[in-house]
Amino acid sequence: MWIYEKKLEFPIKIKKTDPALAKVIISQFGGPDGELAASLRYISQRFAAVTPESKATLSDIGTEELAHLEMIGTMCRQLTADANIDEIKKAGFDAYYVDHGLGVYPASASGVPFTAAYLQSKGDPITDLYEDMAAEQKARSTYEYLMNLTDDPDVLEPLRFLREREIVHFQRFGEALQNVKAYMDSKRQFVIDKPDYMNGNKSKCMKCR
Amino acid sequence: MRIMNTETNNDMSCMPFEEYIKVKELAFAYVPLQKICSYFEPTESLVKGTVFPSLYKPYK
Amino acid sequence: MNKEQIMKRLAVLDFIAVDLQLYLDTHPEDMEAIDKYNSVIKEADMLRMKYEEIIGPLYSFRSSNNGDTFKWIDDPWPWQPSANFEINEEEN
Repeated sequence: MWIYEKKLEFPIKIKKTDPALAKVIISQFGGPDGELAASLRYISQRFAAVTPESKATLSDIGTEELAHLEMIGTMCRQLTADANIDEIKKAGFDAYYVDHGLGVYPASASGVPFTAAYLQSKGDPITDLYEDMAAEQKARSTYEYLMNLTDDPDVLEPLRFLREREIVHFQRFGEALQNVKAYMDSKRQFVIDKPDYMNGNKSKCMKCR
Repeated sequence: MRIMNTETNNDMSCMPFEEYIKVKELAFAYVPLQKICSYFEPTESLVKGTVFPSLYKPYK
Repeated sequence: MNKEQIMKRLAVLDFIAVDLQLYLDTHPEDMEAIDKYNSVIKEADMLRMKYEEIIGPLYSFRSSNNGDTFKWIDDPWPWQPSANFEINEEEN
């Protein structure tokens, strides 16, 4: 099950109202490469995972993505909470406003409602991990495009944080992929050398810790 | 196949990942396993989005 | 420690735990990382008790209630600016 923790993973305190920015950041809430799609993807795929390492990785990253969803929702809310009608019209936020007011709705920047068609759960642990690595790259690109669209430090800081998380997640899925590959191959023959840490050999890195 | 991390300037004491990747077949992607070499300071970790300097790849 | 310092320190510790947890998922036999993880969890657990005492409950159906009303429902919620803090890289 899941336990809700009443705090953000990374603090968000936006002082400047900017509905135009909320209109594009919403894409990371309910868009094609957004956090909702990411979370659903991993917490769906994990049921078909085959190794302890990949089960844990999918569960934990899927959970962290929900924390990111909360951060994105928070940013959209804080960017619009004090907006008046003039600001809404001037920012081109009026189309969104007609459908959702100042509520946070899972849709893409272009207004397409969230759909599970953004993700796949293929039942093949290798295929799923390739999708996950690609998904992390797509989300990283999206965060870079969003960063290009603002110079408000209150918005840039959390975007920078979220973008870096995509890189870390990519690495973990990549490691899980090697782990699953070794598992799949081991049923037939074991040809991949064990990594050093499995042999208790940490000499290479001891002195720099 | 040997994959070197060019940023360590041949400092063999701290390769941030496993030095050897056994590439045993075509049509497969290989990602090196991370090896911990150092950590960011606590607050710095949260600001940067990772505790691992070797995984920190800022955009701007 | 004041409220803001507690919030900030717990956010920092919990984040280190998140990142180390993901590392350990794919490096389950790295004892040095496990030791570091344990020490971060230990400090965070202690601080969490202080957080709940001074700021309010953190978890639904896991935190006990101090006081004669149900504190869980109290503002601020995480999306409200007053639940957040300014982050400054200099102080560690």
